[in-house]
Amino acid sequence: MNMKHILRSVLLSAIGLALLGWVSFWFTTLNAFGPDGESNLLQWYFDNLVQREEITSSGMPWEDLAVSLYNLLAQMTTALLSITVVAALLWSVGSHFLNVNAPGKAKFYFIYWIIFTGIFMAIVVGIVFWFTKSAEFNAADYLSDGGVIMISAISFIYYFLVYYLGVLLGTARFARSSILFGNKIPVSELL
Amino acid sequence: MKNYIIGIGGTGAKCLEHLLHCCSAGLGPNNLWAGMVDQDEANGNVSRTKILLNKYINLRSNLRNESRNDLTKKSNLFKTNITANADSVWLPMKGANPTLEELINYNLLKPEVKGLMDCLYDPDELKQNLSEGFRARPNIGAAAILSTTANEDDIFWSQIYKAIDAARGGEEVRVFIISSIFGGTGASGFPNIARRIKQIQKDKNVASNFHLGGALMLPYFNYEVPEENMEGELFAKPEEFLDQTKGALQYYSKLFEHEPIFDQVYVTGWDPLTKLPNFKMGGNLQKNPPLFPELYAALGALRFFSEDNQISDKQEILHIGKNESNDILWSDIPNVSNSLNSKKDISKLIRFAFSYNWMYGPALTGSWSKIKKYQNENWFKRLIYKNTYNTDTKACEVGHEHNQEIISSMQEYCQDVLTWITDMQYSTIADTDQKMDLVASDFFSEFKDKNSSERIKIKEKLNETEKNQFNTLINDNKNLKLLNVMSNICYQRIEKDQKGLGVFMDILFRSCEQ
Amino acid sequence: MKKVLTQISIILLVLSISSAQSNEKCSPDFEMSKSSIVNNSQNDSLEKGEVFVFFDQSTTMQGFTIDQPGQENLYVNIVDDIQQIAENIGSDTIYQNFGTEINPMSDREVAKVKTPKFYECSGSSVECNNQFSSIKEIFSIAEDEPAATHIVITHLNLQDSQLLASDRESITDPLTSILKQGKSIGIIGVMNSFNGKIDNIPLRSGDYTEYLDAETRPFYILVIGNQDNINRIKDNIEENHFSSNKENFKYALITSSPILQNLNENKLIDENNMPTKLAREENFNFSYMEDYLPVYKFTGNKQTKLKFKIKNNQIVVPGSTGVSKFSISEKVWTTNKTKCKDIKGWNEANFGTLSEITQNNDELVIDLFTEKPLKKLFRGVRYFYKIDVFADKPGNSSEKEFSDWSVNSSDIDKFTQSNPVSFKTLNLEKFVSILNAVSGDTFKKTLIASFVVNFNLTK
Repeated sequence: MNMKHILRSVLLSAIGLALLGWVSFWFTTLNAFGPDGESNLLQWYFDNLVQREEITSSGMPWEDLAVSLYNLLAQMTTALLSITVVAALLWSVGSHFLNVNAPGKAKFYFIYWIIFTGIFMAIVVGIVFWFTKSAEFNAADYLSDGGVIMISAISFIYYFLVYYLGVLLGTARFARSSILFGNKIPVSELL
Repeated sequence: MKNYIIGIGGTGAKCLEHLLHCCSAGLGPNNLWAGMVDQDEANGNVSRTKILLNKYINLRSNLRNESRNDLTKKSNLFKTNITANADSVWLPMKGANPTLEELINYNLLKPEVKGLMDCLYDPDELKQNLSEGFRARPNIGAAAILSTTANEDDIFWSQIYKAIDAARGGEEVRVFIISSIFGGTGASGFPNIARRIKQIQKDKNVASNFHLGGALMLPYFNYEVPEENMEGELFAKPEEFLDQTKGALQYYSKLFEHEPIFDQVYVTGWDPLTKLPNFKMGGNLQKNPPLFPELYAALGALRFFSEDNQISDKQEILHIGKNESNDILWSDIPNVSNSLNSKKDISKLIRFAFSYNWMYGPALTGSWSKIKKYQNENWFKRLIYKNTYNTDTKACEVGHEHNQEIISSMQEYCQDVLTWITDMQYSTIADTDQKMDLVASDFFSEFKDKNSSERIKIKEKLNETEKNQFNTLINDNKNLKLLNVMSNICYQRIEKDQKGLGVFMDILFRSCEQ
Repeated sequence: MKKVLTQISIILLVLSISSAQSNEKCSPDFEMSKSSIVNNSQNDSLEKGEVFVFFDQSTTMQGFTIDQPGQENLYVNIVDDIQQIAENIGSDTIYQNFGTEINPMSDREVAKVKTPKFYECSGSSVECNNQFSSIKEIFSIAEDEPAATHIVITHLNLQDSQLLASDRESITDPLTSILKQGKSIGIIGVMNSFNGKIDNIPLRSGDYTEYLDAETRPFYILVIGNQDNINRIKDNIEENHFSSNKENFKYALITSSPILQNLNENKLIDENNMPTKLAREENFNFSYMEDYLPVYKFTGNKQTKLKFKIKNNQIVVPGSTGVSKFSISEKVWTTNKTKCKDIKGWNEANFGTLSEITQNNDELVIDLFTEKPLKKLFRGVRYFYKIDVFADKPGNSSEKEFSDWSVNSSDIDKFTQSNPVSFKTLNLEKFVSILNAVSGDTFKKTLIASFVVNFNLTK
């Protein structure tokens, strides 16, 4: 297999990932630094993600408790971004090995992409679940049901989009019909 | 540089067939005029080569059309601009049933001349109908050819005269003739036509820029002559080939010593002789399969025409042979020059023919309503749609007649390539101890050696397993798969100025190289 | 020189340890709630007080002194016992008889108490026919003589009029005073043989009738005084006459404080008050804080079950009305550091009610975190959960104790017509309920136990 084409795919995939992926990176960094008393984010978390009444009734200041939540979110978004990058690059490289050896064959590999994407999304859901529902992180206790749903929904949609842009640009040219709307990409020597 | 090639007789025609395929692979010079000499106008091999020549010329002209479909100069596919007369075959003796007797106006000869003729020729020979060739009688052929060549008004010979004029004008001209040393037309034509050309050169005082080369085929095949219905018939007897060859070699030895007509002579033969299954005295039934030694002659010609080939003043006689074992390998095929790798280009052509014939040709054949299902695929969008799109009608015209003609012509030509290589491989080693596995052909063709009209049947469709054997098509240890071809056509850079179907054809051709 | 240096090092080491410790806040700052239970026995002086013995001299009491064939007569023996005990527990014993009035008795007369003659009415027919036992007079005396022990032997048949209005107040007011002074009333009931007349049985018509066919009938010994003396008398009678068969014996104690003790006082709370499984939790430790407050410290999980149990007999005075209502006071402090050395301060939480308290026949159970389950708490947070257990209201177990020996005035007519062999006491239950009501009014909310659960959750 031509390494040049594969490297090109990897580069394009990285560009695709970066288009939206920078947001995750910025968000992770923001959380990694921990809560800032003045921060809108701290208040937003309190208003939207956590069990406000439980936290208020516990008597502990939210800023103190939020440290572990920030840590949880930083680790979670790191894991999610990593898996997204790995999945997109894996598909982009792997698409060069799909046996599209004749005209009209690429679209039959759509099912491969669906399955691959399905596995990826299941991993995303699993990661979110592990962070927000399992016993591994104490801060998961702070999250309200609505908060968990919000985190799950945003993660699901956002990381799918990041992954999708990565595979949209990174998929081998001859296999583009195997991904959703891949055939809509305009023909260009750059893409 | 102007290049001219003349294939003399059936062997010459067959060698020309090999040469045409090599030119389509990009092994030939930039330009080449091709002609054939054969008294047997309907000779099956000559006809086949004539048809192939026309296909080549038409296809090339369609694909090197600057306004419509252009491969451009950079492309090696159909690189050589081959031209030919409208009738590429020159008959030494024209007419419905020509005889030597009529040619020399035997009846009007003086008695003493008649007597000389009687000494030189049997009555049968004088009266033999020569419309199907000289029946392995070079004595007849020589007389016929000598009496009719060098007619400047003849459309065939005018090309030679023009060539020599061009040489006088300062342009380098190379003329190459191919024939067998045995048989009829070839044996008689080779030395006589060569000498005639040299005479013309001398008459026009052309001392430089003109080079003459030749490929002389020693015996490389034989066949069994059936006993019935052959009494009284004149025909080429294979058992006489060696004797004829021996005699001819003695003649050439003296000729080259005393009259160095050729600048370079390529001599080749084959051992053991290939056994051909059918015997035909002549006519369209004499349709022998392409054989490997003929490829040597073709490559010899291409080498002669190569710009890298520095022709010295001293006459060169070159031998071409293979390795001593019974296995015929790719390494037995010599390169045309340092920059033209015969094996690489021929294998590329074969892969191109395969992938076009079974994968891409069928996809592009038909009306737009049938073809449009590929319109979302990258290769199609990039190579076909974009380049056959008419901005006036706002439609892709790949399904239009003019494009469909090219597509189907190319498919036909690809089938010819596959048939050629398969037939050559099968036929060269049939009934011998030799082995030739240059290409794996069992999975896409069937060989019916008893049936000479369609010895090789190329399968119309291949199943998935058969298609997946593409990577074993050429036995060169290069694991090039159809997937690689698809990948390559999606990524290969489109050359500047390429147009129409020329884009796709050239890229597919280039993609068939590892 | 070396010695000096060593001493300086030791001093510095001690200072640093104490400094480090002083920075640690392993528990929050709070006020330790101490028990308010007054130990009645400690309030009493070691000196013996007087004992007043009141014999009900109404005619109907005569029936207790005449044997009934086939029935056991304990009246005489018990009267003897009481005399004996009274002499023992008191510095001086004063005997009196009562009916409508209270009159002192001479020693000679005391001996006659066991004879029928003592109960013969010597007054006019009007007086003899209108006999009633003026129990209120005795309560009044008891109020005036709080230090003494008052023993009353009576049939305790009380008319409705004696339990209403001013007569009722004549019972309740002195009783209130008595109970407030930490005294109690013991009611010992003895089902005895009876061979005599039961009079002043009210009819529905408003008249009265009498009954002569009773073979058994209960008499009562009311003891008003401190619990120790009451228990002594009760134990004495019970041991002497009812050790094998308690069917004909009943006892109730009316007291302002049915609470026996505060469990923290004598460090009676230990690991066994919590489920055995708790001791197997990670980092489990049980200790007393300031020698008073038991602390269960552990690292648990959200499935940990916490049930604090106290045996009833550890907190309730035997025979007393018991406690009908308990309550708990809860306070929780939180910190987001789980290790003691990392804790710099605690925050007071506002969780509201967390646990539930229930009582069954044997024990008091505090089911922790029923209202707010552990799964709603946060891991990684240390909780300091202090619970104070209070007795809020005394029970009414004594009413139930005597209910089968009691008959209301509305039912006695019918009851009498049924020709009962064993005759019940009129308005007994009502009387006991009045006493209970008074005891309930005088009852103060009492802290019976305090403990702390100091924990953090890991999963």
